Amino acid sequence: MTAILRRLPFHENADEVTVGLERVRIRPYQIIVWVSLSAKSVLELPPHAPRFPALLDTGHNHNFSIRRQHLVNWAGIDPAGVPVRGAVREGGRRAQLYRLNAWLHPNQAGERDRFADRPPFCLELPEGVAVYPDEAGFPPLPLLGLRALVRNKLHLAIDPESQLVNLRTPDWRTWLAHWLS
Amino acid sequence: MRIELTEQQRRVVEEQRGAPVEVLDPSTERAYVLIAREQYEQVRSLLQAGPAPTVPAGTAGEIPPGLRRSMDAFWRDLPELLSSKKLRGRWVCYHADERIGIASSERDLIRECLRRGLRDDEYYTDVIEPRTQAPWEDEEIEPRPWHSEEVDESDPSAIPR
Repeated sequence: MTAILRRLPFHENADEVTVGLERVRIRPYQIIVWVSLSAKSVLELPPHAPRFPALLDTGHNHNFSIRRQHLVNWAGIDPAGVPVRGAVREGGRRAQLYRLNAWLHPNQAGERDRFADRPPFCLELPEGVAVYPDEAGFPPLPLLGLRALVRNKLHLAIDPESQLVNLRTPDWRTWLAHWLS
Repeated sequence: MRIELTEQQRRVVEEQRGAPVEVLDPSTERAYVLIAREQYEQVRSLLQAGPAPTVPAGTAGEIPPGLRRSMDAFWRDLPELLSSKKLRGRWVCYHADERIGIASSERDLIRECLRRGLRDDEYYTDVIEPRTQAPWEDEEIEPRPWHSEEVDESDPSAIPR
């Protein structure tokens, strides 16, 4: 079992996070995780790969959605260098799917914006990442959807008492419980 | 080369709570921006990046031909793959009509593609599971209303009209 997010806090008040030189508003009850994106062929994320915040949104039914501007400026990825593998439609919007994987950066226990000295966890995303045109104005923050967690068999736990989130890979007890059920 | 902050400068940095601090060289009037090391690491690759490699096949916004051919092969073989229960949930990889392999993780298959010298647009990886539509078809996803924001009703300018 690997713990990816340990006691990651979220807040009931508005907050801010700094991405590069930009301050980004975080609204109450938004769970922020730090991620990187890479081409599928990147098997080990370079230590200086750009990290940026994404909203963990279990209501988002795709893997990962991001605005083009954030893909370029925050993730440091030029979409011209990444193959398109299809598209999604959402309401009146169409977003292209790029063959990218996401990497989740483990946090220091109890801290949101400080990182643990553990390697990032690669989220293998078969459908890739949805990239919305800038004019869509959506999403305001990149979204990490439930599909990405399910695809990678990750276990999410939200503790409402202490407003903390834990995310981990399955362990032998998980498999045993699954096998017995 | 390393310069240590004075006590006054350290206080200013702290007061900015992570926001960039502008530093001015009075003799040249040249401005510099002081940011935390971890913020610099986030943007370093952008400052140092050369031109990104482009995908040679296909045009912008289209599925490259090599990738599309590999997707076709996946879609063609999917019913046969699904007939074996033990393969469900595993990853499969195609290069054009050739099945590169089946593995429990995508990484193992990509490692093999890299060993063969294949580019990202020349192979396709996917999970063996029932599908209702081909992988190149547009998928309809749930529209997401954005955040909810509490409105102060005592402030008339804040009430949507």
